[in-house]
Amino acid sequence: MQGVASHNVPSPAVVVPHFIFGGLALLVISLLIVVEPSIFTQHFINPKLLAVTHLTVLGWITMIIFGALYQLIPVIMEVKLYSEKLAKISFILLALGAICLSYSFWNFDIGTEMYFSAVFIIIAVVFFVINVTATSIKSTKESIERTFIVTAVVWLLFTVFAGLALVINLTHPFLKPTQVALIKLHAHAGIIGWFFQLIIGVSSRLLPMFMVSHNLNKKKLKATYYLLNLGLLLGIFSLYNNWQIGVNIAIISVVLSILFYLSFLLEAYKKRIRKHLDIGMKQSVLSFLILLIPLLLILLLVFGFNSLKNSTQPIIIAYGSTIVLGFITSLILGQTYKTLPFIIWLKVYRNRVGKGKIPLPKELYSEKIATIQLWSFSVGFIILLAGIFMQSDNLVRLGGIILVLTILLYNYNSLKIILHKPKKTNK
Amino acid sequence: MKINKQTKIAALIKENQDTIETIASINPHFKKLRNPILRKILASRVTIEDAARIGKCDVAIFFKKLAEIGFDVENQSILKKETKKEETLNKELLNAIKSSKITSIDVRPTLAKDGDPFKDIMKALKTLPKENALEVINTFEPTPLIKIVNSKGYASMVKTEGKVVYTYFFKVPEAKQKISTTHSIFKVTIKALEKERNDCKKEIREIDVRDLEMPLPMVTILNKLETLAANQALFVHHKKVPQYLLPELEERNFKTWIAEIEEGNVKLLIHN
Repeated sequence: MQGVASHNVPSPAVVVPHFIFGGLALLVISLLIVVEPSIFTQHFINPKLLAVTHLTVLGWITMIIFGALYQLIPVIMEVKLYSEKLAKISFILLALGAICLSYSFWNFDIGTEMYFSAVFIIIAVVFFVINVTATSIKSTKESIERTFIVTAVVWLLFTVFAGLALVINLTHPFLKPTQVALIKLHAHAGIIGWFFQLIIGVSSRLLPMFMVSHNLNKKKLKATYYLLNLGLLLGIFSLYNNWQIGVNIAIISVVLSILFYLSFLLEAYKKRIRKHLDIGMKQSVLSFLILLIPLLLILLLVFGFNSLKNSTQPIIIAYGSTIVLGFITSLILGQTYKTLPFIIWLKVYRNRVGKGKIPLPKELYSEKIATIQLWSFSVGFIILLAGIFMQSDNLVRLGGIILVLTILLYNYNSLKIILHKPKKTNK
Repeated sequence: MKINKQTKIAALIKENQDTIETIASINPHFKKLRNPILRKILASRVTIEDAARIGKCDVAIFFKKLAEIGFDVENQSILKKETKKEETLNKELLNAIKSSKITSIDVRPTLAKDGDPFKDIMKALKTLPKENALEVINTFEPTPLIKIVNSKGYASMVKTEGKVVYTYFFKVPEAKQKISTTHSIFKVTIKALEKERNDCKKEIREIDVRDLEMPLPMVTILNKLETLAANQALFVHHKKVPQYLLPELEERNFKTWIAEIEEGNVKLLIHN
């Protein structure tokens, strides 16, 4: 008989700051869209768009993922997080790095500032990688989710080092491929290797859990895993060597892998026992629908008809925007309502569960505001996308304004959850 | 109300206000119960067994007195195990205490004035220099305090000399703390779980929480446990090893056996 550790879950003080910073970063991002809508209607490599992109992927998405993973890894792997201190230091460095890097992109100052921020980010990521690896080594629990998470973390490491190499290459060219090919390589290592892989690993566990779906075909996840990683490796290799056929095969492989995953989710959705979807799950369903757009766009870009050639720029920007601001942002906006209330609820009420009446996690936020947020996000995003396609600054700005309002609502609800105090019961 | 060694003093008081006077009459140690502040901190965390140890008297006296005011004492035969494991830990702590300096805090004056020394002690712990042990001097074994401080990663030891009780706290190095496992949660095979289920000779109540949405499994289980009688055990069908539930079970003094049959099918046996 073997005794097991019971206190595996980290302190909320480690997790919650990630959500606060992430929410604020997203608010700044939406404000920047309003201030400079033209960055979405130029060539896709323009400094200010790079600034907004990096603030989004680091300050918002990666930030929230770090926080959520510190909470989830102990649950998925059934071990305690290796070090909370390392997690806190990593948070501070990532926050600083994201701000500095975006600032130096905005002013296109490829000097010391950019090197410093790259170093901050790399150290933050290395600390995170050490933490996740050391935690996962302790775990004896084999699962495909764990494999996804660990592989995703490796790709994250690759992505940030590739980013640093790009910065160096900008001032002291030492790499053979063109800068554009290198940027594509860096971006896809991040988007597919890190974001998609991680989202698949985590959501393949969480979404069926939230919907209460049993007996799912996990072979689909294995297929997803291999197609995604082999495709990405081939893609990176081909981009580096400027081998178009390889790139095309890689794209088909990755698109197939995502389709396998969507079919897994569809199965979970159909087999769900909880028929009613709450607001967080509705927003999540929306994000997987949005995901179909970039799949279509990338196929268009590579195998598209010649007539499209004149509009590749807006399509490339739309492709990136639907992934980062559409799919991933929408998914986080929704999943925040599934995770954050629970974390705070646990902190506030854990000692009182079973002893009298207490609210449930979903009663910690305003469902009405979350519903308005879902609709205003959809409208704002569609207008933004239309603005990108039609290359209209005004439409982009209008979409941006609606997104600002959306994010204000989101931040209001997040703070309402985080600041939740138990109601004084009659004692 | 049926009672046994594990019944909390608070539960007794809730059932019957006379309990306060009855217990206070057993032994001068328990006069503290009349102080509402101390009662609030102590009673909710102390079981009859703890109280008897603190008051240095036999549990039987408790049962006799409590029976007089209408409590129904259960026949006990199974609750003897335990205790030995703690001794090895004490040795480590003792070495630590010997090799390190000691910061001492005497809370007897505060207690004499009916004050609550809890904050002073926590403050002393916070400012405790590394490698130092904290010595708390008072007149009874501060069980609730020990539980709280233990949960913050400190090892503890109690030494009684005459009427004075010395309690020592020592920060366990982080590495040690991480591998430290509990004595109340066990991962076993389904066979061992079934055996425990038969051996515990308790009435089994069964629930299935697999189709509930988070956090309802946790809420449902803890609700059931609140009403679980001492001669009952809870058998749970779960989807996973409930990471958020385990600390709560431990804190509420339950023992848990976990058997993972396959993914999505986990059985738990919980009782105290």
